[in-house]
Amino acid sequence: MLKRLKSVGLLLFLMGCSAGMAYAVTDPGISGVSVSQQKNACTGIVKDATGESVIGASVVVKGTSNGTITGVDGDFSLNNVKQGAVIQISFVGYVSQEVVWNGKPLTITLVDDSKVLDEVVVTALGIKREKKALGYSVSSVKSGDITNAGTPMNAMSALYGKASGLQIQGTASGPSGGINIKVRNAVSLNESSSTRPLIVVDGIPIHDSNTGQSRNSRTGGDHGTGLNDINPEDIESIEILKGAKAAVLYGSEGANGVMLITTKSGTKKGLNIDLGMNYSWNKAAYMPELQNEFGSGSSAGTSAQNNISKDGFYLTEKDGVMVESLWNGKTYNFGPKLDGRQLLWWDGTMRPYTAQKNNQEDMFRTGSQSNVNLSLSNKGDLGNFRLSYNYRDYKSIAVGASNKSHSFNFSGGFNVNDFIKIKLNTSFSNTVDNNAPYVIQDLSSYGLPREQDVNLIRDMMRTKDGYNYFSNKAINSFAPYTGYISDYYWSQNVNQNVFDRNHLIQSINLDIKLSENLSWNTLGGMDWTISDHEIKQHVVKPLSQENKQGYYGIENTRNMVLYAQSALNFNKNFNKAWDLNLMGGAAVKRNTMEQQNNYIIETFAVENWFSLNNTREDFGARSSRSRGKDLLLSLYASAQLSYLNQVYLEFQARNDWSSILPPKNNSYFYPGASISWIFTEAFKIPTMNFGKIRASWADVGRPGPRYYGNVDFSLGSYGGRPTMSIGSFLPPANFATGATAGFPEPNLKPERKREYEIGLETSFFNGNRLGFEFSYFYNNTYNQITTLPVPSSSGVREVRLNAGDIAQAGIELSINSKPIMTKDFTWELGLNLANYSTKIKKLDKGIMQQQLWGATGAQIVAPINGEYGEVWIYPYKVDDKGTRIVNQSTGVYEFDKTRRIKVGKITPDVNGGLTTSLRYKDFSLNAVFDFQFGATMISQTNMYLLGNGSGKESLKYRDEARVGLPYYMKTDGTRVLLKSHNEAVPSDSKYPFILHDGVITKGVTPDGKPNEMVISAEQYYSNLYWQGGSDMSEDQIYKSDYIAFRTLSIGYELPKKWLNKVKISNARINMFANNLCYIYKNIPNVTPESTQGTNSFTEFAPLPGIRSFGIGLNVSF
Amino acid sequence: MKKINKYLLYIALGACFGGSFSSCADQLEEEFYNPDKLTKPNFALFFTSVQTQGHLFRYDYGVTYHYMRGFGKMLSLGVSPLYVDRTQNNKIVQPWTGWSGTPFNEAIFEMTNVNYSKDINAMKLLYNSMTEEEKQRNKIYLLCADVIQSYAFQRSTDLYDDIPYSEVGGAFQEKFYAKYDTQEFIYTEIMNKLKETAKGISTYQFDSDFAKANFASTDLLCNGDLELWARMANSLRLRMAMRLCHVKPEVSKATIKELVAENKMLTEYTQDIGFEEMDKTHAFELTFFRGMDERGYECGAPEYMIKDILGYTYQTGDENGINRTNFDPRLFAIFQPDIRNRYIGLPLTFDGADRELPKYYTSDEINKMFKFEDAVAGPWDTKRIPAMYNRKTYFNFDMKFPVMGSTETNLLLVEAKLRWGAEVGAIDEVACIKKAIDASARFYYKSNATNKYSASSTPSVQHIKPSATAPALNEAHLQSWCTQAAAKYQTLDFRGKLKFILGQKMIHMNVMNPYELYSEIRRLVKDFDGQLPFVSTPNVVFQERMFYPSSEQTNNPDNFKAVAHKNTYSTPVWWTGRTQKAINTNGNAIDQ
Repeated sequence: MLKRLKSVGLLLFLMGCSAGMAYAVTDPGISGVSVSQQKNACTGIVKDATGESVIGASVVVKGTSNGTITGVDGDFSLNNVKQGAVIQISFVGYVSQEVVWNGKPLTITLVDDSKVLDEVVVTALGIKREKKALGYSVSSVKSGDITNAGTPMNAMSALYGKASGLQIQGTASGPSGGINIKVRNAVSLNESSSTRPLIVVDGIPIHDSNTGQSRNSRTGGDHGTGLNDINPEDIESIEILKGAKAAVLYGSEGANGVMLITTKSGTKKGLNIDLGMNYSWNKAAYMPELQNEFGSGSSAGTSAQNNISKDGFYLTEKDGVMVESLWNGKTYNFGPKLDGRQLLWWDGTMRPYTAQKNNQEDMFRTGSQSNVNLSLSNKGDLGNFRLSYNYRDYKSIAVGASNKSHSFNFSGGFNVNDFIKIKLNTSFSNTVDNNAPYVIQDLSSYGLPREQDVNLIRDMMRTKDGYNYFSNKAINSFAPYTGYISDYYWSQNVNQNVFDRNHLIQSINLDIKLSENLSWNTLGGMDWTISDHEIKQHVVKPLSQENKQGYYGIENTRNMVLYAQSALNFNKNFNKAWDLNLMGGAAVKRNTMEQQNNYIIETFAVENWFSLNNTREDFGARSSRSRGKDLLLSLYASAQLSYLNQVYLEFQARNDWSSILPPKNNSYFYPGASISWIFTEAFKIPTMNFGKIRASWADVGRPGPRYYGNVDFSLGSYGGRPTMSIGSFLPPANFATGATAGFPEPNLKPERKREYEIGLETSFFNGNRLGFEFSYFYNNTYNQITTLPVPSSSGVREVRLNAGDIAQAGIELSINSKPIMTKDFTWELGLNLANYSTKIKKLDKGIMQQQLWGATGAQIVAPINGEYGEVWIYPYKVDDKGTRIVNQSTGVYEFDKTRRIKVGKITPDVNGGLTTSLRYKDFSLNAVFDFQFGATMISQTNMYLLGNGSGKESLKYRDEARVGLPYYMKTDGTRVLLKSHNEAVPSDSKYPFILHDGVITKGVTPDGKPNEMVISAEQYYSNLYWQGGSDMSEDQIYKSDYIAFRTLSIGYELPKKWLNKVKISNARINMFANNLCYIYKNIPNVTPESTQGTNSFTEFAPLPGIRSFGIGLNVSF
Repeated sequence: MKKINKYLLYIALGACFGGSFSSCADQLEEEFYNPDKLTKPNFALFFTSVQTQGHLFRYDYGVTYHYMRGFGKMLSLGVSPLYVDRTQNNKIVQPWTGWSGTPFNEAIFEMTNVNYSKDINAMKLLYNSMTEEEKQRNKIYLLCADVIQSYAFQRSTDLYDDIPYSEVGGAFQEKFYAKYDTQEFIYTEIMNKLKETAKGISTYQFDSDFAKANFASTDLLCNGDLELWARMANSLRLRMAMRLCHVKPEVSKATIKELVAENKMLTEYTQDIGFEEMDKTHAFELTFFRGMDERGYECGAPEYMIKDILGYTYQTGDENGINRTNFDPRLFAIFQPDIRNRYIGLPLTFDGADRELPKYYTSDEINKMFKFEDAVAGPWDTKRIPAMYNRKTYFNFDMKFPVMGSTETNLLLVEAKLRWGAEVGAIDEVACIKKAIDASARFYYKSNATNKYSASSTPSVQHIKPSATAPALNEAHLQSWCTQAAAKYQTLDFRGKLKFILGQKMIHMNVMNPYELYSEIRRLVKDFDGQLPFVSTPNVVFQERMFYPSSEQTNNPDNFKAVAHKNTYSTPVWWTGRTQKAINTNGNAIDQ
């Protein structure tokens, strides 16, 4: 515990220093104002509720420019004021006042603007509560925070660093793809289980899922989820219900936390028209640092080659003569030094062998994003409405990739009479995602040849007949890189991969006031997501040459969530001290999924006719179908009792009946309780405006996958013969034993999380200039619906069951301060931090660890008594003294595959954000920084950059200047170390030159002698970082620690005197930048956000990050 | 009155809500079940499913691809020209590493335990709950399933040595951690089981024609022919008995003697068991054919097969037609000629390549061959320079992919005679050799002659060059060669005869059954004083056993401890009778 506090404490200290310094300069330096009585001089003094003088308050005669500010004693004087004039007094942090001057000195007492303290937030099931009354932690992000740095493609990306306990992480797909969202470090023993929070939009839980990239050229693009469709400009607020108690009314769906999104409605009288436009430029950023010294190919020292020139270049026959050429069949950048000489290239042309320093950048373009947003709104006695339209046009940095979206939102409130109110929210969007890039891993694993002009490949790729020039096997086998580089251009520029998503979120809310104390609220609605994914892959050569070509597919997916809830609310005040609020209701939720895929795969009858009829297969297009639905029924109740608005006691409970669980086992109860005490209502504490302690406890659940608990069998067909097969897993079931034991009975139970939380919330000084919110929680996620691996000799590979217990403790802290508050200048600074630690308390079935992910020699595991997400890899073999053993076949270390060592974990120790805003008159500046420390990232890119010789780090040993050793290649193919780089070529040398890229790997031979085996630098890197199928080595483990300068925006409110002339009420111009830089980053060459999807633990990203700059204009009429 | 109305309204609303809630509740049970899955198991359909599992009887794409890439090189099933290019002479290949190493090493272990066993385990669960009458009626399914499981576990233990056997398949009894049994124990158990199973099958009577027809409809391997099942069990037992020749020769002798006396093995061509791919739609993309197609780089015709086994040496003018009969006619069906219509094999040593290839090819052709520059349209480009496996023969989607047959059985009998003479009964080695070659030739000729697939068929196969069409089987030639081969065998010494038998297995099984060849090679090392009885591809380290899946160390650690020390490439399996690894001496980068 102390250890955890240490890092938080350090940051707090720094924050304190910063705030203290800021506070020290807040004295506006205003000298005393004369109070001598003059003609029509209005004088007075301004105090706060405690009697303290308010310095720097603005005092203005209403409707004039006659004004001043208060002095050090809170005093002021205004001349030429007529009796009866209205004096306006305002100061940041206080409620503005207007008083009529009757000719006498005024004494004005400003009241704290306790807006923060009286803030009403949306809680579970859409229940609005005063934040101060809550016995648990809720973070709230308002609309301004979401759009002040331009309109993001994905509203979630505006939440970086904005709320404690919320982890936001982009992915390699960029903003049009998915974004990783985690509340309170939600973890699961099942990699495929979603740890994303429940997303609720205007009361309707929407369909949401993980997304990611893969190497499948057809389905490997990341198109984002329904969450991407929500227009950020339509969002009024996002509330994050973090703990179990906050989410307990969501019962079996609350364990990952809940994100409540409330859209805007008409709030001002009269017709309001808002128009916003943004345009931003996206640039590829944070790309790997590549070397530009050596080109593609091999070192002559790697193997005894017959066709090598006197300078070590590969020789190829051209017109009967052997000429120096690019290396045949090689991709790695271990070729000779780039010296500009003419070499024969893959197309038979002589070209210079020169570094193309920008060929990595050349693969990407400057992307862009434009947004247009228009909304109309009004509010009157009968109700209100808001209608908006948004158009987003995103052009990715990857060529050919774009994303266009049209969104419509309508919010209408209708007051039928004094008792009945109806509210309708409709959000519809159409998003077309074009050619989202898939992972062409070869780009990363083999690298870009340093001498290749990628534009040349791009331009030569398409022949005049429309085929792919590089599909020619002769070229491809000579220069394999032309294949994967052209794959990128072919996929992005020739093929079409169109993901068209129509998304409707609809809710209607009926609120009936039955009596003074009783009301009835009913909400119904749906989320209907229809995705049509059409894929057209062209033939790359004539069908007459290769008939297994072409792909055309249409996949239609329908996801529907139907949801309804209805509740009775009862409110009663007793003896003016006690307030009772009772609520009871029921909810029903149905999820439906249907997917139909029709496709033609490599059986085109004619070239590039994209029709399901274009197949040589007799039965026509192939198809597959999947479907599923589930039903959740719920009863819930809540009781809140408060005393004198200072003590709040709340009990809440929900019972769920889920079709995902076996019929005999499908009812579960989720209770929760909380208490909070606003102690500043009972005690006066100097400078403390507000102080609350709170505690809560609750037990919530997490839904399992549909049909996960079934004991069933797959019916198949093999050549017309029916077959039946059982799964390769053991279903969650009760097992009968004995000789007559048959199939078991399903027994899946819900997954649960039990959590208690304590917290402290305070605010200090006038205007709540300093506020702290602290939470400590401890939870156990148990009975996890998971799959544990068992030895395959049991007859199955996995056991599906309820198992495990993960304990997690966490601290969350947020600090909000206003170091400077004057009439013209305000500086606000906020910091939030979270620190989590996990421990695996229990698994099941004798299993000691759960593997969460495994590949490339690395495992991410959850071991009993260990932490969640530990990263384990094979170490190198060492002798008894710990010295690494050098394999005498490869000349480098080899893995000791008899054991694994822990090298890190995937969850961070600390994450958080720092937000700051400055306002000077009509100018404002907002900046957001976010950070993370303590997590480990598995980076294949970094391994490949060494293994394929592309990275700068792979230059060591390449030549004499880079400490390479001298040696020569004997005619029998063995390498012999030389004493000097200047030695003459020995007589038994294979080549007419000696080599300078020798390496003797530091270590010992298997029999304990010092290693003396000389190998080429190419062998060193490729054997060490490509050996054993590219396993991760202990030398290639990085932390994903970072401090990012995430956003910066500068705004200017145009003067009203200009705007009034053209009937514009407000106009704002802003400039913004996103992902500006990493102030600190541990991992080289990639970013911590280069992962392959929302639930990915590793990166091998050929796609770089994005840095964007933009401008925007918002006008209100 | 107003108050009453209000209460009535509450009640009505409550009733409406309660009613709809109740009706929804009725659907909870219905929606628990996956509409596209069955909850009622079917005993017979499980049996069909077992037979269709990938890489049991129908080799699948993935594993074939991986074994062709590394493991196949180690066994010299085909020649990859790149590997006999001397310029590559210090590149070591460890077949258990790299892209193909791990997936291939883990595949058979995992598939044997799960894919080939899970549906049999399900059958046993169902069988447990049957009445005695039902059990009697359905017993034949389990007996045949036993043969299948024995076939699978024999292959697995041959590859991995000690494996879980006696405690496998305990998941549905919540027994997950099976101990590792010794290979000796497993061999004893399987051989005993096969004996009982063969007996059970031989004596089984269907209680009706309907039951017989039902069984036949689910029996994809033998089409309901119980005699074939029994013969397969016996041939499998013969194979295993021979495997014990070094470590338990008495068991070998006794078993073979018993089998020979009973004479109910797969000894005739007509009894050869194969598995025709019935899912023609996916015949290419999911199976052996695609694996071989993509690894055509490793399908160069080995010189040792053409010269040493088939007895053919190119003579000038042969490209225009070969009229001799002093070679094995399988040459035409198993291989397709080179770019100049010649049957010239690729040597497997650097020296051999340096010496032989320039006799037939220009330096440019050799260079192109080494660099695969002749594979413009893929590895099966009709303009590929070297002779290769015959695409027309091997890409016949209607072929009965060999499972067990008379060629192997007869060759095993020949070896039994060689080792133990009359002790194992009356074996006519000459007749056996003739039958082995005859059956093998008929299989390959039939596959070549009946291949109706082409670039325009469905499924399609491209790149079959006209010269891949073998001439009609010349019966006289075949019989002549059978006689010549048998005669040659008799002139050889003990090791020569062993090499002859191995050679016949290599040419017959080749890329279609690398596992048996692998086992036989390892078994014979002891007979050759620790040397490999064949020439492996240069610089490919010979691997004495498959590595266990890494998941065993993680998921079954306590039991794995018993075998962890053996989990190296260099520890021979028990029945080799050796403790020293065999070494590939071909190539200069090999570890010693």
